[in-house]
Amino acid sequence: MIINGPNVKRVLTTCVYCGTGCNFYFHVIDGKIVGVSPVESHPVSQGKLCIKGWKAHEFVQRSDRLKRPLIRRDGSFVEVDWTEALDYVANKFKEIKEEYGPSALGCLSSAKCTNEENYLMQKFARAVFKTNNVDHCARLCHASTVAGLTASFGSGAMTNSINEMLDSKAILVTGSNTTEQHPIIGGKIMEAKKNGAKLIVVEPRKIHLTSFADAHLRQKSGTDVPWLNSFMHVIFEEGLEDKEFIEKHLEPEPFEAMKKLVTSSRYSPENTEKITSIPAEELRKAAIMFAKNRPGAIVYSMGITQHIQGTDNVKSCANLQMILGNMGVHGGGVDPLRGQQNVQGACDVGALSNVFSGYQRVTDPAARRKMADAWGVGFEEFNDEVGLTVVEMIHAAGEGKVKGLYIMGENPMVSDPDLNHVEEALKKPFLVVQDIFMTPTAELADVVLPAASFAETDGTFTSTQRTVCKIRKAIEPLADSRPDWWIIGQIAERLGYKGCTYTHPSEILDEINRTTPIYGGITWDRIDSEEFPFGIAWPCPDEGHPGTLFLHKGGSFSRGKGKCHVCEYVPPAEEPDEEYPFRMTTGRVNPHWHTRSMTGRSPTLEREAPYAYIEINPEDAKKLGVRSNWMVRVASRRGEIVLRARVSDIVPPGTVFIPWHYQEAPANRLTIAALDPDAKIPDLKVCAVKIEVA
Amino acid sequence: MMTEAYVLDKNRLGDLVEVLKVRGEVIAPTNTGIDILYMPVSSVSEIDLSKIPLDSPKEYVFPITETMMEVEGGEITPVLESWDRVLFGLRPCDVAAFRCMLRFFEDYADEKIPDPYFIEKMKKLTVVAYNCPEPKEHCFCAAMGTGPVAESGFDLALSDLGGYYLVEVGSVKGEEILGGLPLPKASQKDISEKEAVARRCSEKMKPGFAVQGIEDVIEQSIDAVAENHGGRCIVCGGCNFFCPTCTCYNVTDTIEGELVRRERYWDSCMLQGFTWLAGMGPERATLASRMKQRLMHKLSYTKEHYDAYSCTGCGRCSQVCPSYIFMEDMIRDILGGV
Amino acid sequence: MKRNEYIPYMATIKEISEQTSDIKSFVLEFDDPELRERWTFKPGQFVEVSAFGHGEVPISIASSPTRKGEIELVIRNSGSVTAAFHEMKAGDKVGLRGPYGNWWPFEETKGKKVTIVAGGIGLAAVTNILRYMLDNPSDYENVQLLYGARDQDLLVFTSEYEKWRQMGADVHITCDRRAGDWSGNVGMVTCFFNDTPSPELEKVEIPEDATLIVCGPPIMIHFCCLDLLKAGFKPENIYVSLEGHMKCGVGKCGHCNVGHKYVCKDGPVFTYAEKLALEG
Repeated sequence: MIINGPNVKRVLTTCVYCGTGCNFYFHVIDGKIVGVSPVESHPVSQGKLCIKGWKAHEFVQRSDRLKRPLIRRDGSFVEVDWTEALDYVANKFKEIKEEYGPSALGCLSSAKCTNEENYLMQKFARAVFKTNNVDHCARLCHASTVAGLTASFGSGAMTNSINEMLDSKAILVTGSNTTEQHPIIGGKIMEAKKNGAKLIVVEPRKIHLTSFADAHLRQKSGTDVPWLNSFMHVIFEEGLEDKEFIEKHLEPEPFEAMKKLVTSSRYSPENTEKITSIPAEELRKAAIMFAKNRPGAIVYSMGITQHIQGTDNVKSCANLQMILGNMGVHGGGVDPLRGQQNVQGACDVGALSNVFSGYQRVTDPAARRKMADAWGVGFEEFNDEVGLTVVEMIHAAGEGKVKGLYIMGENPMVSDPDLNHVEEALKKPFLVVQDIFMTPTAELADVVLPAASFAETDGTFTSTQRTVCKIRKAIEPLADSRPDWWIIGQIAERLGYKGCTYTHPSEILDEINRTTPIYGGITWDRIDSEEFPFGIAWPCPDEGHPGTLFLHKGGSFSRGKGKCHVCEYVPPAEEPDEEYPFRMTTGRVNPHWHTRSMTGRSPTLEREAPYAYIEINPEDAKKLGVRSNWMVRVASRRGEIVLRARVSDIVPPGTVFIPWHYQEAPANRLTIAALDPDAKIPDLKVCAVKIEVA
Repeated sequence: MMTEAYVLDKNRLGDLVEVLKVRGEVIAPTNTGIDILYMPVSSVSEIDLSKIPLDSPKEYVFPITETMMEVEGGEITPVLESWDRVLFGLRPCDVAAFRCMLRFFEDYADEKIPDPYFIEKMKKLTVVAYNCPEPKEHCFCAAMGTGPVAESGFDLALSDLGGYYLVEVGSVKGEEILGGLPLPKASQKDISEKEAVARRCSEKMKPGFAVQGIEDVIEQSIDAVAENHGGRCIVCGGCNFFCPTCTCYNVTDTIEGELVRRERYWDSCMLQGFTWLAGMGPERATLASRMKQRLMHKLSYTKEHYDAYSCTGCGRCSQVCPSYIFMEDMIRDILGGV
Repeated sequence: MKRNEYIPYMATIKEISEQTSDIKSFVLEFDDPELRERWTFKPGQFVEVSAFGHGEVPISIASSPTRKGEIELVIRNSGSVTAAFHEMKAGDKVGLRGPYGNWWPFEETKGKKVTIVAGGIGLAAVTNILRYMLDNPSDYENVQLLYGARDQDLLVFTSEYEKWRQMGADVHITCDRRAGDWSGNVGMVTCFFNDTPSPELEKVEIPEDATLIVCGPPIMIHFCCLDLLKAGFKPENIYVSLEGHMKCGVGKCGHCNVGHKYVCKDGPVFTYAEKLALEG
């Protein structure tokens, strides 16, 4: 929807920040984006935006955008034209492939890029590099969701929709600082509470949402399986489970095995209190409250997923909702809040090391045959093994096994765990970084390719509620930057493959429609039509289908029957000890987005939170002799940073919190790269640190 | 201060639009198929007055981003963009809000140094108001004394009386415009009908309060109200960005090669980083304190200074708030009644 | 139409001197000779000074209006705009507009006793009235300055203290702690007059009927005023200057709006009584 006036243009598009999927209008005057205004009739955002949305234009036309391709020569970057850069990149990749084989190459795709671009990147990795070493930052955030919910339900995405929360009778929010991270959704949760829903927050910190909670359980970070199992323990004890639902819709043997485990004395609230530090009585009350107020929804995010036991945490949430019969009903469900605005989409279109688009497995010959036909590639040319994931790829680069890395729109130098190791690793391979700003990752590159931002290209994003919605080009790409989809095509062509060359993103979506059953009917024209002006939610198998707002309707799961899992508690990889006595957890603040490459360049957003800081409980601060605004040195076994102290009782004694956005004091220098065995997601939420005055 | 009133057949609205086009770029509510937005129009067929839009026309006199000056080679060049514009279909709440902004920008201590950026745009603006026949969910202009009919601040005002419009003249410019479009005079019956429509519209508005005198009682309950409602704020700034009387702004310099551009852009006092005063303590660090400042400013301080509240009951802040904080609820709670 | 108040005038840096490791003093001059002649201000007012490309900041004018032509600004390196100033050298161009705000009570204190208590960089916000009073000795016979900083490296205007004494001011300097070769008073500046025993500092008598001017970091103002009240001075007779983020300087952008006052218009000088009322 582009509304043209003589001087002023309004362009309807989807926000680039979080997974809520709000829409807004860019106000464009003479090729300059001067501001943003909300969209009154959007079904989810309904005329509302958070501060990042209102100021989503601030970073777009900054003068420090990457303008021209850069090649590193004699230690510094030299501007070159596109032909030279693309030829050089293609030749280097070719050399590496010929000498070391396809497994020495890897691609990091981007949850900030469009579905079309992510589809292209995984097509490129598989058809051109001939490797499954393609992954993206979902690995760091919701990989455990995809693994856990696929195993439990057959579908690894948010089961219900955002607006349903207003009708839930109970909402259990855990590991999600919703009013700061998904503010529009947080607002709806507060409204649901105001309208009588019970709000239970299980969260170590006293986040904003806890001021409205009927119950706030403060568990130690990394002890989620125990309290989730205890919830179920109480529910079975009180006879509050939905027996009819269990009998009709859950696989009986796994259910019995899980019930046996959670009802054992090991997982009684009195016993788990010793692990979680949640008082038994409080836990009982909360569990009963949640069970007695249905339909109830579980809303969760990083606090559940970013653990060594992330997949088990997710499976336990699924267990809980299945025994309560909260699945497949309006207002119920398991609602993981996807972070990036298109991390759902990037997963959906296969930018993952183990699946093609639509979660069709690379190990499945039928899937490989399908893609071979669609892509015009020989069936034997496909790699049939699961590839390396994000953290594994970086480690492999460090060990010299991956010799060429193509990174698009990702910033592992701030986002990955154990940054000292990441830095060492990234210095070794031939590194191509494609981005819009010179990030710390781009600074290590051999070649930097300037990409167009979300305001400068057409495409689609998929929000956390599985809704595929358009973004629309508002201005021409800045200087000599080009859309990511064009760049990938150009490199592919030079490596002998024309299948990544398109003239417009709509052609790529056409191909996605043909190869991806869940996106079958989500076509370029339909998601912009009078009937569906704001997109369509998958699954949508064909063009007659209206899309699916909530999954597993009536208890009929995507996989048939729901599967419960037995989850035993596994402690975090690293817990406090005498030398490193504090439990450090990481998280975010409202005005900043992830590695802050965009929000840090937005004056209004940067002004809101310009300094890195660490939250320290007053009791701990007193013992350390530290006051607010003093600089402190925080160290773990992997590295150290210096930043300001903020003494606050938001954190409980023994726990400290650092927002991880700040490249000047990146929390990830301290975090540990211990991975969940299933999902390969790192334990970003728990590690041990020591603190002293700087 | 009504001088004359006329009647205009509805199917002759296009004639009025043609006459207005002579006066400048016509901005009117346009139905885009998705929302109604204030956009430039070139013909009456693009205009949609059927629903009150959320969209704020404020940006046409106080732009979201505005270049103030450019500096190059040691030379400073002021940049003051303004051209003749007609804002057509401005609702009474916005008409009153524009007057609030004008009062504010014209005022500077004792010396009356007006803000030229705003003043010039207002000088070149023709206002054709449209009195609302129907309110929206959060409207409370009647309670604020600013609607549903505009009493002043416009050049022409239209009221929908069924098959025709009542056209009231509010200024010499308005009279001149109608000079190019002779219309039959309105009768007393027409005026009464307009008043009846306004009454029906007022009755449909929900608030159940009248704001007069709030400045005398606000201090008693403001802390509790600010705490109670403000506690849910998620710091988006939307209430201020879209409020038609809010004029707070921030200024930045950007460098483009040899050129330095200084711009001002919409800011919000509800944002944490907005006010920083050394030694004022952590007061404005809390959500409640910022909500208190916002409410006191709109309902007390400006009343004291300009004898007019800087809330005109348009309801946009309520619509735009992700936390469902409603201005009309806060005012009602301050007044202590329901 | 009146001149657009937001547009600065071009000015040139004539002289830069380092006061401490992160504080420099800049002497500026308008490029326009006619403006140089007629531009004036009252002691306590501030200007908005621009480092083009970086931004604009409000800075108190440190010089006195009695000295024509030169405008002295003391700027600490504490943000992106002030950092840009610290990169500049003599001859560089800046933007300047003002004067804005109200001023120290120089009219009301004619013929009376005035005591200035300043801390750290706060001295730069009062040198304007101090120099003004010393340039008008017949109107101001009793000028007293109590000044302190954390240690001697953080004292500003060190080369001026003797000059001020010679012009008739009763000047007392102290450092919070002894460091380097400091041989003067040791103790917080408030210890000059409060009842904390301070063996390494000479107590000073502030005249009972003095008007007090206090300026320094917020925490210093806070404790200093408390001590002054304890010593019997009235909050209406203590004047402070508030500092904060301001953009327009003329009461339009809203950043300095506190309660129903604007620090740029109704201040930055307030009596301590007014400051307490502002805080609500």
